[in-house]
Amino acid sequence: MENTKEILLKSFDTELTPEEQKLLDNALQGSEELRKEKQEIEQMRNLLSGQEASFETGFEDRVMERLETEPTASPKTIEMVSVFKRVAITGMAAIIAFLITIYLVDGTLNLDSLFGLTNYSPDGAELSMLNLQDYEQIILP
Amino acid sequence: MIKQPLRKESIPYSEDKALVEAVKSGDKTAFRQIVLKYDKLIAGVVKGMIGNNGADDVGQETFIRFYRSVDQYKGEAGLGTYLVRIAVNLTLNEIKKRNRKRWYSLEDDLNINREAEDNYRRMEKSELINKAMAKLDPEFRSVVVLRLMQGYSTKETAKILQIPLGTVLSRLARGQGKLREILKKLGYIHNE
Repeated sequence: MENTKEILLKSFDTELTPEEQKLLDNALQGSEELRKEKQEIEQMRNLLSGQEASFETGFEDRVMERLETEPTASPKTIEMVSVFKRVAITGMAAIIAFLITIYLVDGTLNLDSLFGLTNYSPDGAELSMLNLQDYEQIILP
Repeated sequence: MIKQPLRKESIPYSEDKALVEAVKSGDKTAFRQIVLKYDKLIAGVVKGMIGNNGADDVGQETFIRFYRSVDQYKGEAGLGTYLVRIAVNLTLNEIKKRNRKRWYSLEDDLNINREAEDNYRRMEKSELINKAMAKLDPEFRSVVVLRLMQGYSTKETAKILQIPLGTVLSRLARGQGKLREILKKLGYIHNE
């Protein structure tokens, strides 16, 4: 039944093969539900195709006025400026979030905390240097 | 069983060609004539996709964009088709913008329930169709508007939207299915 529903919908917008047409005709003959569905689709399509639309009076005047008053930057330039603004705002938001995180973790906001040097003591540096010397004595006799 | 809805575009190609050439040489009167000839077509497409709210702005932008990039128009597609393509793209951008803002929007979604039904019945038919269309995903909406409202063939619809024919047919099927359910609940389609 699903297949015949698909064929029914397809029949409104494209040519069916002879086999599909035969299948649909038989299905419509044998199913009231399918006939109702066809009727509903026809109603809907008629409803939609009967819609007229227009802009408010003076539309062409508004277009011409806008043509005179708007800057002549190309749409590409206008789009790039818009993209740049979004990227800049996102970047700023990321930087602010980073700074807040540093402050929450280290309780301070200075150059050392920004470079992750707050837990690095001078003693630690000396110990690292001694270890390096030991290493060199072992490897480089 | 193929039924072709009435096409709105029936402007002679040679006349359009002359108008476009005039616009290319800076003739704004010719441009105004183009606006007057195609405003209803563009209104049908734009309002079909986003309703009345903001349609005028998108419509204006369609013609402005055409004017600013008229040198890019080489005449492969009919002028109306070319303008419709611009209108569809701008409308889809507008829909994306509105979806991003929805977080902050207080606009209620169309909520079809027993209490609302009577209210919706009192609405004008076109307004109701617009609201029902707003429930469709933009990709389904565009094929429904072009094929069922504007009367473009499935091939023309595929060309305008630059998608395969098979995709048009499948989106049409799904779009119609959903739209039918919505309109049925609102009593605008029923079994006789």
